[in-house]
Amino acid sequence: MPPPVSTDAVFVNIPYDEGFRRLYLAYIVGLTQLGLEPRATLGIPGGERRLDRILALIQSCRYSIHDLSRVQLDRNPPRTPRFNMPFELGLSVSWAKLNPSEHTWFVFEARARRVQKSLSDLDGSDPNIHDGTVEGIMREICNAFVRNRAARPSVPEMMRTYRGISRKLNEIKAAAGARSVFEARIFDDLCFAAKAAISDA
Amino acid sequence: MGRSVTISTPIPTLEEVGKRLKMSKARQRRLIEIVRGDRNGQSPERQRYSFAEEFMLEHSNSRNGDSGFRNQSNAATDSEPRKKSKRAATS
Repeated sequence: MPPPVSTDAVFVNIPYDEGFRRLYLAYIVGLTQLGLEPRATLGIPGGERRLDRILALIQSCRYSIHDLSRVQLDRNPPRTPRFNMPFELGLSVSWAKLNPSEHTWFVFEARARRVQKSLSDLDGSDPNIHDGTVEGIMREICNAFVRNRAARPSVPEMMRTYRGISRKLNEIKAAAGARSVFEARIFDDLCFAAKAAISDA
Repeated sequence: MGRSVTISTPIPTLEEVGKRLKMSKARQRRLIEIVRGDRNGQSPERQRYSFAEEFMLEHSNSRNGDSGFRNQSNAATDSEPRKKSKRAATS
């Protein structure tokens, strides 16, 4: 039995590493400013039930964003590419195929036409190209999720919120006693902090 | 150009976001203080909380026997037990 679908929830499928920290924060701020609810696999422990919980997380989200920009090999030996993002995209595509009214997926990439090479099965599905920049993430989130004009934040507004939260990142991390921004508690804190910053604007 | 969807659901309030995330009031206050830079005498030019937020926080504090969120020592205390730090998942 799949979990109930949260109509504002967006499963954010991105790499969790320091090199992606700015874009990770951009996704959280941008989605929150659009009134959406970012969700991630942070906090889902390893083990045999991990896959079930990832699938349940996808099923509980009305939307998903799959950032396929990390195609490089990681630096730690043995050097490997990360397959989790395309794998979770596959889960989302299957779920959406079976339940088209309950799930919509998006592919984000940094470079145009690279997905056609890295994942040619997606030919015919145009990815959102963010150029590997925070502003690009904000722009493409706004392109993907369209609100009516009255409730639609502008990219400069989203950038202001991003810069505000970015300046406070270390303080937020310290308050939580976290070592990394890629922890479940910090993820929640950042979602709330972004909302607080928006409410204060 | 990627695909797009139209969103028509209402934008949640700060209170609703805090509730959804199951955050304690103390933790919410701490984050609001950090974001709005109003600790250590750094008073912002505008009022820190909307009337609705202020009422919500005051009401919650009075129920808990807290004398008020403006008390710095209370505001800085997160009474929620820290969850065991989960290792960063690697997606």
